[in-house]
Amino acid sequence: MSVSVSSPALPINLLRPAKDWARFVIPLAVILTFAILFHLLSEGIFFSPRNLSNLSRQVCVNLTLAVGMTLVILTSGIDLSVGSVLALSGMLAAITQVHGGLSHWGTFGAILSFLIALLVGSSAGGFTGYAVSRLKITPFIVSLGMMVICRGLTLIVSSAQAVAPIGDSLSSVSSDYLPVTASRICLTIVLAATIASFVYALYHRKFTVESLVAYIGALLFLSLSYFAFVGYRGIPYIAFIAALCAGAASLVLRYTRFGRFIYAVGSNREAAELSGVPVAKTLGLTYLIMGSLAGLAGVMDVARVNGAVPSAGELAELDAIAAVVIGGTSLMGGIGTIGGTLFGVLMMGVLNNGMSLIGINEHYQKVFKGIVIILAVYLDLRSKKK
Amino acid sequence: MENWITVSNIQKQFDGVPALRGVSFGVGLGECVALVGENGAGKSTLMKILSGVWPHGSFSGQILLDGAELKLCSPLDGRKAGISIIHQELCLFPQLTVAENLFLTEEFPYTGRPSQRLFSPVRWAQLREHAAHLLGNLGFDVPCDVRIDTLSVAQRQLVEIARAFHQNARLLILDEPTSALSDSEVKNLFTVINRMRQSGMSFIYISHKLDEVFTLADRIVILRDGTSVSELDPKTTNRDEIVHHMVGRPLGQTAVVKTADANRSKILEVKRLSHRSPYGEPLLKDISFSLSQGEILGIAGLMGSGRSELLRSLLGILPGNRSGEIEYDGHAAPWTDMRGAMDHGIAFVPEDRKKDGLFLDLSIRFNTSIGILDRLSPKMGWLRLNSENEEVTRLCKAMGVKLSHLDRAVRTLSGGNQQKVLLAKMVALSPRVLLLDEPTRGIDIGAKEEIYEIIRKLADCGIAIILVSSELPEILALADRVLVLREGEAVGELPNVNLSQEQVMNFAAGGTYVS
Repeated sequence: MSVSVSSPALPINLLRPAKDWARFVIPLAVILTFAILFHLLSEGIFFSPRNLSNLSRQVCVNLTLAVGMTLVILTSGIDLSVGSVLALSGMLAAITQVHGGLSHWGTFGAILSFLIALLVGSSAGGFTGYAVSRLKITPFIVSLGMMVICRGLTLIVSSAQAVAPIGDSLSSVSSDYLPVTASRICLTIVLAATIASFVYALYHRKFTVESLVAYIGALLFLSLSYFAFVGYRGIPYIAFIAALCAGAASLVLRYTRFGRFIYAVGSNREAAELSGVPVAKTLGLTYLIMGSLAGLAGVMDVARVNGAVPSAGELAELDAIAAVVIGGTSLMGGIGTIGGTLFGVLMMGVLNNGMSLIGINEHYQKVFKGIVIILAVYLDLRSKKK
Repeated sequence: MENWITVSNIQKQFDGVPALRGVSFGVGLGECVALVGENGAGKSTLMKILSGVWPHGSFSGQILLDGAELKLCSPLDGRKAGISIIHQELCLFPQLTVAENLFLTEEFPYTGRPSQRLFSPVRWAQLREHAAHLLGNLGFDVPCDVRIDTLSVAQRQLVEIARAFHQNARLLILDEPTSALSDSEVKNLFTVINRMRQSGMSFIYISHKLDEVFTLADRIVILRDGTSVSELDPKTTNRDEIVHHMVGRPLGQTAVVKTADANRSKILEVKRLSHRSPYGEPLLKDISFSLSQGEILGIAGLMGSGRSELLRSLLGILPGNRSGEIEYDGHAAPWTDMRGAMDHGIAFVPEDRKKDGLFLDLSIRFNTSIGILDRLSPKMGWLRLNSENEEVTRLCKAMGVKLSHLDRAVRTLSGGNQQKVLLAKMVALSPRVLLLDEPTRGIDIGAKEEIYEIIRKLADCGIAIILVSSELPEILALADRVLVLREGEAVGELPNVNLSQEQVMNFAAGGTYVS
């Protein structure tokens, strides 16, 4: 589940020089401190397999959006429309289920609804991408417009009513689990691969202090996942899908031409043009992927609450952006990793889950989350300057 | 004449690269001193020091005003001391009116003191009255109620001068003020300058145009390589002497004269190339030349002569309309953009490596391989990291980049190493033609020599090279032939045999040298 965090020791290293390892140690220490604090204050509930499994399901929507947002922000763009795109695609999936009768078609119906959501999401993303790359309108403005359009469409198609309940097949995406044995095998493979890569790096002395910290973080994360999922019913499907997305995005960024182009466009657009990078295509595809992921997140959200509400995903874009930024990705583009974003998503997830667990009022939670976002980015900025 | 302001032994370095190595001169009250020198001689750095852009302490040496040391910490200090600079790119607010521009930071009711208060009522009538009064007193024919962006460049310049005047400037620095003016406008400007001199205003006049310098200046100070090499009296000197002083450094390297090889095949032929900007201004006019395998063609010319534009036009990445023919291997050039040019074996190292060339936050590895990712990812865009590693290692070794640094961000490298990475990125394409725009700008002498060596080697391998440079010694040390541009036109094509800097400079500055 953590392909994204692993293998900084491979020959391409888009990370920073070794001296600012503090950038990795401090966040890791902070998230652990919070987790332990929550564990103690909740009288041992926080680190129970059941709660961790719940936590994993709570962060899935944000993780899926944040993965796409990482790509977009790496190109030095932004996509404010993802919350509304999520709502629109989720709403259409729910409508096809409830009013279109697909809820009676079982798995096939669920797949059809899912594909419709994906189509809606990718169309929205494709349009944003076209406007940004070919018409050269600022991403902020295009996606702001798209955000309002999609919210409006959601209200129109739903007549501003909630649509529920969806068929069991679709809602099982959120409520069902990969069997424990299969989960155990999956996690063991990933864990073993990470350890192997760690040993390989150790053997070839290819790592720096910072990648050591990244490994420690990854191993810790994987062990906790193992503990939670094997201890409680297996991996939730929804978490499995989100993790696949994160893993795939990480591989694309590290090991494909397209990934390099994303970094190039964000790092220096002028230089990218002069290096023969197909800037417009890269931007278009990035927003298309973002839209598709928002469509996917729409289905996840619908499955989770077993229906669609017109207000779904409000401010979801801001949560995604916050997670990306907490993860160390630069809003100026060109710097950042999926591993960082995973960290950012977990950070926000731990705070949400933990604060609810120990009974902090939801309104106070918001204030606290805001403070953490600002502090996290400030600390990152400061350690970069040193 | 007694000096009113004196600079003595000013020295300034950028990242260890000296820009000024000791400049001394003085300006008397009401005097006009012309400052001339090649591109990169240090004129603009000096002006930035005088106007307070580079604050006191960031350079060594002294500025004396009336015999007392002047410590400028900001441009505002410079203004308070009575020093104003008028840049090539004018610093006005185009959407505001003339009157607003003149009094933007003034206290009202008018006291003559600058104000930075955010909330104070604007008295429009008074503002306009003052502006009209000021412009009238100076005899400037500029309406005070129109927006700046409706004015001509010459009028805008007058507005800047008027602003400086009423801000009690006593020394006005003009940086290439006539580059966009017509002849009659130049005459008008000179009248203005002469009138203001009589009222005690001093001028430092920077220009490439020697005619103007002779008409206007009381003294000519010549800068070369960051040093003030001589001070001449325009009444007793002549153009040749000035040019000689401007370029007269001994060559670091004797020119390597290659025996002309008739067997080398022609690779690029440019016929009557013209280019107009999207606004219809002519950028290049009727340029023709040819280029053979293994040949280095140097392109010389002053700032704004169309050197970089020529390269970009060849690549098809200069906005606007191109006319004329470009033949590549005997056929019309098939590319229309950068990617196409690269695929046909044309590589380009842009002038501004930080802005146009490098991905500063990313690694050397990333920067080197970005142009050849197609080749490194034959299947579905998946990169072969091992091939990449081999390729990058090979290239960096050839360019002399330290291999232990391959994963370091390019930002952390010295200018010389950055330039080598940029070269490596282009050489990775195995180009047939290499276009180099200022390949050694802002790097130290040692790295320069290394890059010269690399360029020579590349030419020996049969790569045809076009070298644009503002440094004549560089062109003379490397090029087989020199094409001189002036105002978008090719004014001379000189074989680099016993060619001197004076000869090239004469062509570039519009002199009368006849070969």
